[in-house]
Parts: sequence; C-alpha cells; structure tokens
Amino acid sequence: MIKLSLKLNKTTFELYVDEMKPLSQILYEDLNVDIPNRNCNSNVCGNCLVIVDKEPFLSCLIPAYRLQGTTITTFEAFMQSAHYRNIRRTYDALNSEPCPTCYEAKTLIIESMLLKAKTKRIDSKIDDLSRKFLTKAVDEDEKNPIDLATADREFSLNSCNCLTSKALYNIVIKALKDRIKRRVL
Amino acid sequence: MYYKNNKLILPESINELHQTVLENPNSIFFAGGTYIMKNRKMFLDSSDVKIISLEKIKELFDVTRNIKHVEVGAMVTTNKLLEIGNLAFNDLLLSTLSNTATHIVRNQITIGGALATSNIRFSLPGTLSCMGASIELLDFSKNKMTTKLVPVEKMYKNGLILLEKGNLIKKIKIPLDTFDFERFYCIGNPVKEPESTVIFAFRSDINQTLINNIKLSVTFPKAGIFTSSIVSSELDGAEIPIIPKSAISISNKFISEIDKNIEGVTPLQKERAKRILQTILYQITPSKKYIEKNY
Repeated sequence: MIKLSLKLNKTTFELYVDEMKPLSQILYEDLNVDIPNRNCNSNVCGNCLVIVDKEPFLSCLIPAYRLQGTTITTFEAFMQSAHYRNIRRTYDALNSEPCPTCYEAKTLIIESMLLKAKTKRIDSKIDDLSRKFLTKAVDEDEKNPIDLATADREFSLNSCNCLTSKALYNIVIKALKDRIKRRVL
Repeated sequence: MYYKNNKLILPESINELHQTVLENPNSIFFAGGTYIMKNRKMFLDSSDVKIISLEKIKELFDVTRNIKHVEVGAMVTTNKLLEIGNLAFNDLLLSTLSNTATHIVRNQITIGGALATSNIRFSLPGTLSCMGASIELLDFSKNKMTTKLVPVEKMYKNGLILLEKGNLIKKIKIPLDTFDFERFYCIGNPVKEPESTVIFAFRSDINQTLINNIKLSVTFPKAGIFTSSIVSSELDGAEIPIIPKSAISISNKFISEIDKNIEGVTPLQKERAKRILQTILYQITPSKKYIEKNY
C-alpha cells in the first residue's frame, strides 16, 4: 500500500491504495467518480479517458504509484472549460455528435487532437517569424494541420462506431477553425 | 472489485536493480505498462511474483547520439522519439512510430517495452531489425552483472522473444543510415486483430536504374518476425522499374519462403503480405534527378 496524494478536479485527496491499482478503479472505488466502462477489464475500449497533468491518458493503464502529486481532470471538470464549449458549439453547428456511451471519450480525443494541432501551428509560426515571412505565417492558419488518416488512427482508440471517421474529422477541423477565430488558447 | 496486488519495487539505479533481481528471481519488469496493465491476470494471482518498476532508473531515459548511431534508453517513450524526429531518425522509423497505436497511448509506450512483450510482436521490432539496430542487454542472472550487444533480428524466434530470465534491455543502438527507398505498411490492428494483421518494413538503395542493399522484414503479431533472404538476393542488382511478371514471381517465392520458415501465418496474412510486397516493388522507380537527367 502507498499513501497517494493527488489533485482531482481542483480538490486535493490523500488516500491509501495498492501500488498497482489502476486509476480507473481508484476513481470508482476510492473517489466515487463514475468512469464509463470501468468494467472493460483493461481491454482498451478507449472510454475511460482522463486528463493527467494536461495530457490525456487511458485511466485503466495507469497504476497508482505513477499518480503521486499529479493533477487529474475528469470529463465533468472539463465541461466547465472554454475548450469544451468550443467543441460543444461545433457539435451543434454540424448537427453531429457522438452517442452517449462514447461522448466523453470522443470529446476528450477531439480535445487532445486540438491541443496537438495548436502546438504544431505555433511551432510553424515561430519558424516563419524567425525567417521574417509574416504573410506566410498568416497563410499557415488556413491550412489544416491534421490529415484524415491521422484523425482516423486517433479515433481508432475508441471502439464505438457511432460516427464515421469523416464526420469526426470534420468536427476536429471546424472546432480548430473556431478556436483560431475566437482565440481560445 | 480490485484484488490486492503483489509487491512493487522501485529501484533507483542499475546496481540497485541488480541486487533486487538477485533477491527476487521471480519478478516482472514494469516499463510503460501498456501491455502488463492490459494483461493484469498474468501476474495478479501468483503470490511470489514481484513487480520491478524501471521508472526511477535515470540511465534508462538517456538518448545519446554519435556519428554512427543513436543510443536510445529502454524507458524512452515513442512520443519522445517522434519529437526528436528527423534530426536523428529516418522516415522508416518515424512512420513506424507514428503508426504505433494513437498518440494518447504512445505517451505510455516505451521502446524497451515494445521490444520485450512476451508473446505478441508489434511494429517496432520488425522495423528495427530491417534497419540493422542492435540491443544492449544487461544480464542480472549471475552475481556479476554483464552486458552484451545483440542484433534485433536475433532476439526473436517463432514469434517469441529470446530474452532470458534476469535479462533487461538497457538501450537500443539505432544506425543513423538513411536509404533511398523506405516503406512501412501496417495493415490491420495488431492489438485487436493479431491474426489478420501484417506489418511490413522495406528499405533499399537506388543506384541509377539498379536497386541494392535491400532488406525487408514482415511481422505477423502472433507468428513472429520474418526477414526474407530470397527476396533480398533476387532483387539485389535488379533493374528498375520492376516488370509485373518478375514482381509476381518474387512475391510467390516470398510466400513459399514464409511457408517453409514460419508457422501459424493465416491465409489472409499471406495474401496481404504478398500484395504489399507487389505494391512496394511497383513503387520502386529511379530517382527524380536521374529521370530528369536522362529522359
């Protein structure tokens, strides 16, 4: 057993758990947070995504001893953020959204892709600025930094087939453009 | 309900790890955890098994580079390697890494763990054997710790890893060579459909209208890795573009070579391997510079 200290949705917890106990089961058994498909028996269904220190992870694959001092954000807390509102707006605008079973997981996958795309975009901007091609940097904004094949692979993490990969790709691109337009960082 | 687990040990250096392994011969090394956490049944019930986490051993996180090689510590994650990118690795390795799972899972997959899974092969070992990489192994089984360097292709036989008990992958030496023609294909999902997935890595040099320095490896997740010698010798010095007749004949020889040397390959995997090889052979054409000069 280890004494584990972690921050869950802005609240600090200290608890005694087994070193190898997966985060998905800590959340359900020790912290009373309901994670979808907690009984998938680590079959990597992709529904138990959480954000650990700003990076999305499958909670069934992280053992307790790795969580010492980390900050965990579940979907409930993520729903309060501007990033979620951006994705929600896109669902409404395109009139397509994931089914209730995989809604949380797919939304977090979209968020992780948007975060990755943002980093890529900023990197290319810095490169171009250093070469004093400011106009090119502006043009870069218009390009899509995510291709369909990458999006398809990223969404393969979740086994639910409620939306086609093309529909999910459209959501990601629309949300990205919306984020650039509204300067949601 | 979660069942209580076995004891976890967290050594902080290689020497401490050596002592731990000598004291606990029945132990499992825990690297990224993507495979072990997924198969928790394999260690939950046996009471004497200890889990040794490699997370605090700093030597296993190093990435160093010299003129000929990049040395990557076993605990470096695949996303970290992708961040290094073109500075150190060729396109073959980068496309293999970016095709391994999704970027959320790649945060946890370590290069050592990807090579050392006990009964299933993923894309990385095939590509590394195609590139001529080698593995530095630490042998903890005796009182004196020893180190040995083993080529990746000699680490596997009949789909199983030839890693003895008490041996640990310390680092992987990856050559800095780049090749004129490199292709990586992964058809299927090695985790969800291991019996239909085929992973293919191919590299060669192109010298005007001839190809040479050919190496290919094909991975069948359950059956193992296969490096073809017949295809390499048949293609070495062949003129390109390769005509369909010889591409079909080479691919047929390749499949009969697989039949002779490797067991447990399904007919779908054979058909896929054959078609991928043919696709690759049709893709090999003289370099753009050569075409512009001569035609």
